[in-house]
Parts: sequence; C-alpha cells; structure tokens
Amino acid sequence: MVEIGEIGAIIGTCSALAEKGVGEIIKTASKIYETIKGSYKVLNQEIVVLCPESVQHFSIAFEATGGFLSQKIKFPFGKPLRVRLRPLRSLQDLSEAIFLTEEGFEINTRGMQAEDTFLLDVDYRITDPKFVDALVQRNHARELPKDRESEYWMHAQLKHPKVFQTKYGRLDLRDVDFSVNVGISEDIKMSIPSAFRRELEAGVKLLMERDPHRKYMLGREHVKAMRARGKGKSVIELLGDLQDLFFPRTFRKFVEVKKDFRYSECHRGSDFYETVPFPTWPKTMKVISRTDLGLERYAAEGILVYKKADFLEQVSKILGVKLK
Amino acid sequence: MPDTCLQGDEFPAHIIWDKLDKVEISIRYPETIEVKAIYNVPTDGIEISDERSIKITDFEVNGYLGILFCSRILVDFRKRERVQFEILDLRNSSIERFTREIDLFRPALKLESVPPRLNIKYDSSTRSYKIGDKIRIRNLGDGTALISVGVGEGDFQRHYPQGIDDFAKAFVCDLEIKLNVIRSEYPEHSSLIDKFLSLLKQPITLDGKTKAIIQSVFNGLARAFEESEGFYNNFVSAVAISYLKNIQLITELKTFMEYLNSIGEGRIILVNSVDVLKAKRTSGRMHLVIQITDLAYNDYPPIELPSIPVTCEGSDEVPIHMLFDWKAGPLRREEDG
Repeated sequence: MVEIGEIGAIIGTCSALAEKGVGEIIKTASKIYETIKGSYKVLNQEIVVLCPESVQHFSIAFEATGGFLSQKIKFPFGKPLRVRLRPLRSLQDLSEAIFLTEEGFEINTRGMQAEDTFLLDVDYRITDPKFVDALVQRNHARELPKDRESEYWMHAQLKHPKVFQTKYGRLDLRDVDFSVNVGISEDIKMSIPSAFRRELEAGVKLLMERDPHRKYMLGREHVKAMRARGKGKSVIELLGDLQDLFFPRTFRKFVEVKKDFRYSECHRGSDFYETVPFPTWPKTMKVISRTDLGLERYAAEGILVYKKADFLEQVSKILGVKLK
Repeated sequence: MPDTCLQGDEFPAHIIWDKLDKVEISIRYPETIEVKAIYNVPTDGIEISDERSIKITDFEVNGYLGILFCSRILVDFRKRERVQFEILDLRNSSIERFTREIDLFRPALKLESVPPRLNIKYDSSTRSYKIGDKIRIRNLGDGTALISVGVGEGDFQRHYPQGIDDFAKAFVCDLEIKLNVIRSEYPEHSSLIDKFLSLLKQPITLDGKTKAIIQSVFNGLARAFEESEGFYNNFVSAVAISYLKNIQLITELKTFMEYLNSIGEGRIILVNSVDVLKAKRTSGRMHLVIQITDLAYNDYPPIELPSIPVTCEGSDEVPIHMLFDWKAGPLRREEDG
C-alpha cells in the first residue's frame, strides 16, 4: 500500500541530497559569476557535469567593455583542474593571462586589452562520488525472457529537475554511464559440439595425469577424440580464437546501442558469479553506454541490441560447425 | 515504461508533456507492483485514490513526471501486468488514457526426480566417472537461476579437487599481494578489498547471510568502479595478472571445462561447479541442499533433497556438477569424463 507519508519521505530525502550535491557545484560557479560580474558584463553561462570524469565544467561568456578594470582578477575558490580563456571573435588561446595560485587562479587583464568579449572555461573536480546517483535514477534490464533475448532496455531519468534550474546558467549532465551485462554463456555452451567437448575432456585428463602407463592410455584416447573431430586447428588454437571474441574490439561488433544512448566500451563481466572462487571464461559481457540529461531532456530511453545470431555464427565459424 | 522486468526488481516509467499544458495524472497499477518513488512532485502534489492508484496534481517543474515501480516476487513465474496512465488536461478537461504492459518473470527451479540411490563408479585408467540416474532439476522460468549446492548432515563433505585447490590458493595469494598495493593507493576502498578477499577464501554458497555479503561487496565494487576508472583498471589488472600467473597450474583447457560445467541448461549457473563431494566412507548417505538466487539477488526457498544412499567405487570423491541433469525429458543414462 502506498502511503502519502512514505512517498513524501522518499521525495524529501532524495531532494535534499540532490540539492546538497548541486549546491556545491553552484556555489563555485556562483562565486566565479559574481567575480566576473563585479568587473564585466556577463553575457551567458552554463554548467556541464562530465560524469565519467567527475568534473564540473563552468563556461561563462562576458563583455570586457566599460566597468572597473583592475590588473588582476582573483578567483580564490579552490584549485581548478584546468582554466582556459579565449576571445570569442578570434578564439585565440590566452592561457598566458592565467596564473594558478594556492587558493585557485588569477587572470591578468593586461593580456585582454585587444579584445572585448571572452569565454572563460573552468573545470573543477567533483568530490562527492554519489553525486550522479543523487540526481539520476538509472535502471536497465538485468536479463530478458527467453523469447526476447536480444534487446536490453536502458532508462535514465532526473530525480529532481528543479535543482537544474539555476540562476547561474543551465546545468547539464553529460555522458551518464550505464553498465548492462549481456549474457553469452549459454550461447557458447550450446555451440560446443560434442566431438570438441570429448577432445577437450581427453586433453584435460591427459595433462593432469602423471602415471606413465595411464598417460599412454589417455594419450590414445585423446588421439581418438582428435580424429573423431576431424582435421583443423587444435583445441588450444580454437580456445585462443574463442578468447578473441571477448576482446572489446571484437565483441563490439555484436552489440548496437539505439535511441538516446550511445555505445562507449565493453569489458568481460565482473559480477560475483564471474569472479568467485576465481575467474574462468566470461558468462556475460559488460557493455557501457552513455547518455546526456538536463532540462532539455528529463529522461532518456535506450536499447542495447545484442546481435545474438551474428555472435553464434562467429562461434560456429571458429568451431567449424554449422548452425542448426 | 519497459515491457519486461525480472520479478523483485525495479522498473521505471516517465511521462513528458508540453511545458505550457497544465495536467493531472492518475496511475493505476496491480497489486503485484508497488510504487517505490515518484520524481518531480512536491510532497503535497500526490493524492492516494485507493490502494492501487495515485493521482499527481502538481509538479516541481512542469512537463515531466518520473516514476519508479518495483515488482513483487509472484507465484506465477511469468505474468503480464498492466499499468494504466490517465492524463487530464485541466484547460479543456479532456482525458487521454494509455495502458502499458510488462512481462514480469523469474527463474523457477523444479526438482523433477531424485534417484533412489546414486552409484558412482570411477575408472582411474580413463579418469572418468560413470553415474547411473542423476538428480534432475529443470528451470521452468525465464530468469537465470544462480545456484550453489551444499551438503547437510551426512557422509559427504565439500572440497576443491586437488589441482583446483592448488590453483585457487595460489591465485588468492597473488591477488592478495596485488590488492594490498592497490589498497594503499585507494584507502577509501580498503574495507571493500578485505571483504572481497574473504569471500574468495571461503567456500561459495548462496545462503541468506553469504548472499547479503556477496550483494554488498559486488554492488560496492560496481559503484567503486563507476566512481574511479583508475581503481577499476588496477583491480581488473590485479585479477587478470594473478589468474595468468597461475594458469599453468590448471591450464586453459581446464578452466574452459570448468566454465562449461558451471552452465546448466535452461539458464542455470552452478556457482560452485568446481567443488567435489568427498565421501567419508565408500558408501553412505548424501544430503544435498540447493541455495538459489537470481540476477537481482532475490530470495528463494532452498531446495532440500531427501537423503540419498550413495555407493562410490574407485574414488571417494565426485564433482558436484556430475550429480545433476538439467534437461527435461526422459532420463539419460550416461557417463561423464
């Protein structure tokens, strides 16, 4: 049963967290804004959060005509990761006018005299690692029913869009990341022909045996299994070819990301059933996709397509068997 | 709203409309689904119409509503449910109705048969086992079942087999050294590293307590990987190097065999497939308990098998995965290697 009180509590708690996180970002941006505004006319500004890097990027365009011009403008609001100043007309880099200090940075205005409008870009590290989680609800299909095995849904939505409305410019989240585990283990297992498996088993037994007589017997069994499978690459070579499927550059061919998301990278799955007690071969591939959110896009929908038929065809090609 | 979801898991929905329109939104949902969170709504902007429907009358930023639902674990292992959305345009009192369907699914393990006795014969010259009728388990559902097989009171105990034991010990030993170096660089993840290592050192099981630890450790790791690419790269390298450094102890062939052995048919993953059951005597009783979870770490009641009389010939141990037949259909009499 849904109680008003319960829902109210959820909204209230999360909103407070989101406001705290965004408040930290806006605090720095507002100080830069107020400092520039003290000397120049601010034309436009925006705050972009680069999610994978945990970086807030503040851009402010201003006009340097009129007003009081001191030789230095100080920004003692913490050390930025990088600062860039460019005239808007020529976009020539004026980095020599920027000086990093213990407290933050300074701009020497003498280097700005030849131009009238400028763009200042400043990047700061976001220290709260849970910042994105406080702002964005991320969900995806953990797996799909058996008859729909190829399209994993992904969904990202803002929890509290009102905190994105700031008087210091629009706030956008860029490259919000999503990890989806694409299940592949059954596809591999079902593709392994029985002759290959027998040869594999015979090979394992042979390698483990120390007794010379039994090693001889198992060697004969192994040769028989090899002959039964027919000519072609050795099992070791085939396993090497199969391993190649799990390299990001190869597996990338078997996935496609659609709608509001874009493909970023993929790795072998790292959930507990892959790792404990020790890793063997991947049961899933972790595919990372990204999307952007902000007041222009409150929610994003995406589909991760696993090209199962292509993957199975490649596995079958490696093993030298025909698809049923 | 998505059209499929694992039972017990969360799924989202959202509605977007023109920012200039003034609307009220009613949502009606079945008792199998609950509302977990509503986004962009002030606390006084929600009205509870009855137990299964809510009305949203105000929005913090007009033009968007976000909802997070959560499905319950159902008796039916696959069920299609409907959520109804009704949007009232307050300017002209027109109503638009939308219905979205979602298939809620889960794994459903069925113990099809337990043999009255297990006869295990091991031929040392061919290193192969012959087992008569096996324990037949089938996953009737659509979700992946992660299972661990343990032993209750009886005449058998769980162990790693010799070659695997050497590898597992060497792997954990190397990994511990490497993770201790990472720990000094990322002290904020020190306790997570400790918990991960302790998981590796104990026999894997999916009982409630261990499952909670697994969930906490691996959710913690996933979050730490998202927060820090450097930590992710260092951690993954440590695992990969420790694995490759010791791979000669079991060989690539063996790890691939273990991989195949851990995958049951019909979406079953046997998480402790490398384990063997070692008999205290050549004949005795085997009492197996199967712990089950799914990819959302949901709780399922364990399957306790009746005590089975077992005779062992040629060896006092048997790999766990060989005791099971995951397939539906007629019994298969077979031997394994």
